[in-house]
Amino acid sequence: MGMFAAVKKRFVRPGDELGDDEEIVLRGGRLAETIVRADAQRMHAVYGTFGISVFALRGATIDELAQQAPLVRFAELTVVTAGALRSVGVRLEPTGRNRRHFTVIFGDLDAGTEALLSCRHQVWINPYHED
Amino acid sequence: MLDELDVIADLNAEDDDGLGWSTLSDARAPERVRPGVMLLAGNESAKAVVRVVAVDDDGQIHFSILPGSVAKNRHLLVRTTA
Repeated sequence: MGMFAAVKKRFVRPGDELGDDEEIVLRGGRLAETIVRADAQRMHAVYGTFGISVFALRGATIDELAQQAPLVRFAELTVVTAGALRSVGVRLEPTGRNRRHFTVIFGDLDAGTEALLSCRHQVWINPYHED
Repeated sequence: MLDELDVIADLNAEDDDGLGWSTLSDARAPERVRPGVMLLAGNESAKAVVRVVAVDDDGQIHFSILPGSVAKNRHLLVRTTA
């Protein structure tokens, strides 16, 4: 079995941008360095870019997304604006056929992780989560 | 917590079809990972019972995440020994 000898190309939704700097995006869990790095490295192994997944509200409420998979599986959610992400130099790419799914792209693993961890964000306790 | 996981995964991560994904290299017993099998997936942030949908030739695992708690879904995990 060839393990990631060649990377896969992601489907990118053409022209789909989070243009509003106040647009909210969510990610399950806190922004912890070890986890962000591991997740970004796993993405690099498959897709050839360092990055992590986030979900844009796009008209929904945090409560709606928080009680659906995958976010319901997290006791805490990180809430950040698209503008705050852009302000620390990472890029949001509209990946996959789910219009709420975006990938935060790091140009470089160390710099991208550091930038993301410095991003202004809030932690939201998920009342819909059960262990 | 990580010891009981069948596969380390970022449960936020979605593939192009909206399924969760990880890799065989992150699986505790890669030979057990095949379509239809239920596994316990996750990391320090979260865990879930998932159903494997596909395993690609390159080792990428695609799965659907059961939204219910691990406690409620644990009975779906069938532990087999080689």
